[in-house]
Amino acid sequence: MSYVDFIIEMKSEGDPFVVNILPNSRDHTSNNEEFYPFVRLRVRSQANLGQITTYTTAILSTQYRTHAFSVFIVKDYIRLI
Amino acid sequence: MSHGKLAASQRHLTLVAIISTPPPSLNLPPSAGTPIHGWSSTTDRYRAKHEDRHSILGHFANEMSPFFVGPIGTQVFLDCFLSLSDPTSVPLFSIGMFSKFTELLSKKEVTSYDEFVSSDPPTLPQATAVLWSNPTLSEPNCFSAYVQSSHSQHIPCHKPSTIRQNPFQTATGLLRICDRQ
Repeated sequence: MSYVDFIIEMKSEGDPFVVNILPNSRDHTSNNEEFYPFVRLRVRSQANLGQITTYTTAILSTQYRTHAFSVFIVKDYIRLI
Repeated sequence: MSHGKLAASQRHLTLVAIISTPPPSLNLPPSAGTPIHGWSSTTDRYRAKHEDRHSILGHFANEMSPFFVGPIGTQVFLDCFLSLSDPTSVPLFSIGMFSKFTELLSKKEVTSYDEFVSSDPPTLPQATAVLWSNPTLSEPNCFSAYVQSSHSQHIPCHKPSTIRQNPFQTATGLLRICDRQ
């Protein structure tokens, strides 16, 4: 893990981020009291977000970095995180 | 079993007990794999004591959710994280910019000992522990000290380059900053 530059994660479903942020939108599927319009916290999406967070945590825990990048592929589009 | 053999076996057992439970070392490399903790999750007698992977990932997602603020344009992303016009950022790479550093690495380490380490005996009587720089002195990078415990002897100002003493070879006496000239 100390040699990893960045991670690439590919999923067929469960994009944890909202494609189009609508004003005053709210993700009613989550039980969080906080409101994060860019995050979709459905079950599958939540697991994917936790997974890439785990990878980034591992990189930042073993390397001297100020930030790290990730590539998240869902279906036919890519997110640079 | 004789007393000698019994004592020897007891020593052996003690030694084995110590070896089998070594103290945790801070120098161990990080364990391979994803560092998912196994904290105890509940005291409920009808639930598992440790959280499973799904619930741990859920905690990670909930914890990180506030930090995903939204999509960002390509140019804004480059300006924020990979800016080429920021004068405070890391200088651009050019051939030879690390030459002095690599030359330094090629030099034998022992050749640097005289600059940083000295095994010369102390020149001051029963001195010393630690030197601090004194900003109140007129001469920059100047140290002034006196031996407090034994002689209360004032030691005139020394430049750091002239102080060549090994603090580990002197046990008594305490060298302190003296700003009372």
